[in-house]
Amino acid sequence: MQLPVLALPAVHFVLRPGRQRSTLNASIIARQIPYQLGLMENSGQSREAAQQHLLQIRAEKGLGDLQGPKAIFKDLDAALKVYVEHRSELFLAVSQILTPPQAL
Amino acid sequence: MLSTAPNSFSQSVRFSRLHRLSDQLYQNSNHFLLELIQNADDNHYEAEIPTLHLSYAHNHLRIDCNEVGFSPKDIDAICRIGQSTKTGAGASTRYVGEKGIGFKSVFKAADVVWVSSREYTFKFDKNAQLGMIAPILDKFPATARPGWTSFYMQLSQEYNTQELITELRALDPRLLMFLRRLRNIHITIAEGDSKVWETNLSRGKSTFEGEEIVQLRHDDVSLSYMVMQYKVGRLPLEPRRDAVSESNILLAFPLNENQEPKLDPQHVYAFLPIREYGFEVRAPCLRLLSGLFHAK
Repeated sequence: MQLPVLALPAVHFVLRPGRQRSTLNASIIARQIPYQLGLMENSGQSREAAQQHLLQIRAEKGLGDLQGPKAIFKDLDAALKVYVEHRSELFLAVSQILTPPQAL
Repeated sequence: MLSTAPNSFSQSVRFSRLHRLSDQLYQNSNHFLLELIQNADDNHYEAEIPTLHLSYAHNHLRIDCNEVGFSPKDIDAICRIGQSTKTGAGASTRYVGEKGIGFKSVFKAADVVWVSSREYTFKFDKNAQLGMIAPILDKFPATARPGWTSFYMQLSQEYNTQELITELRALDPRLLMFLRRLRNIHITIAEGDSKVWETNLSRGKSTFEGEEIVQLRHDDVSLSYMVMQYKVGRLPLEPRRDAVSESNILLAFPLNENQEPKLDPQHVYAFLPIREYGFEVRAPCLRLLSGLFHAK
């Protein structure tokens, strides 16, 4: 099955065979997803994706609530919701990311 | 383990640097107006007439532009310092701005600036932590214009709004002369309960005897300029503009209503007017002027 999300650099990085997921990877996914989604949709970006992007910028500056491991998953959860609302095929791809590599 | 915990020391340093930057960026506290006009000229448009609206009312200045809107990269750039999206090879012929700091000059006049563009609505608050570069999610405080990018500036208490009003009233259509995209500036000023003052500046093009004529209008008053262009290549290396090796020099000769040259002191421009150096350039006739520039 062809998944368009595989073209996204951050996701491709995580899906590399044999690569173990880590907190760092989860963080990368969490931070990249809304941004990449924004880049992909560009002109038709959703308000939720725009808000996620702004929150991401704040988090990068050390501001906001998105700090530490808890926040990473909160961030990921928010990103997933954006995916679910806008691209079901991307949600499928993210579901696969969340599955441990050995189970794929 | 990735840590995103804030480093309060470095933040406070950045914070103070930002304040210093916006304070020292330009001595004239109204220079931000030219920055906004410059940014509007660097924007991308699908609208037939690229237009900027400047509206002052009740200690607030609203800016609306019918550009295509902010991309995620534009948002990243406006939330940083010195990382303009306008740099790189060929940028000198496409953009006026380049430093990525111009927008910050609005904080010379404003405490809070709301932004609405496409799906983005947020504000910068100068007095919040990293407030000039850290966006705060917020609703746009006025009616948004769909399809336009809007800024809404809450002017500082200590800012001299009367100077701003004087500056807005004095804006001259000649500032549009060498801009590349922006064609129209509409200004409205509402002071107290009195009637709203408004004016319109615009730029158009025509030809006369095969030469390009720039036509500027200030409401009902029209000004004509014959514009001659000369491309300069192999410019000496300038460290601050390492991707720039060529530029265009343009001379605009004022014409009277009979399309004849007239003698008037003219400003020197770097896209926008810099100042008047007392140049009074006049060609004996348009045909000779044309010959001077076309003979190589």
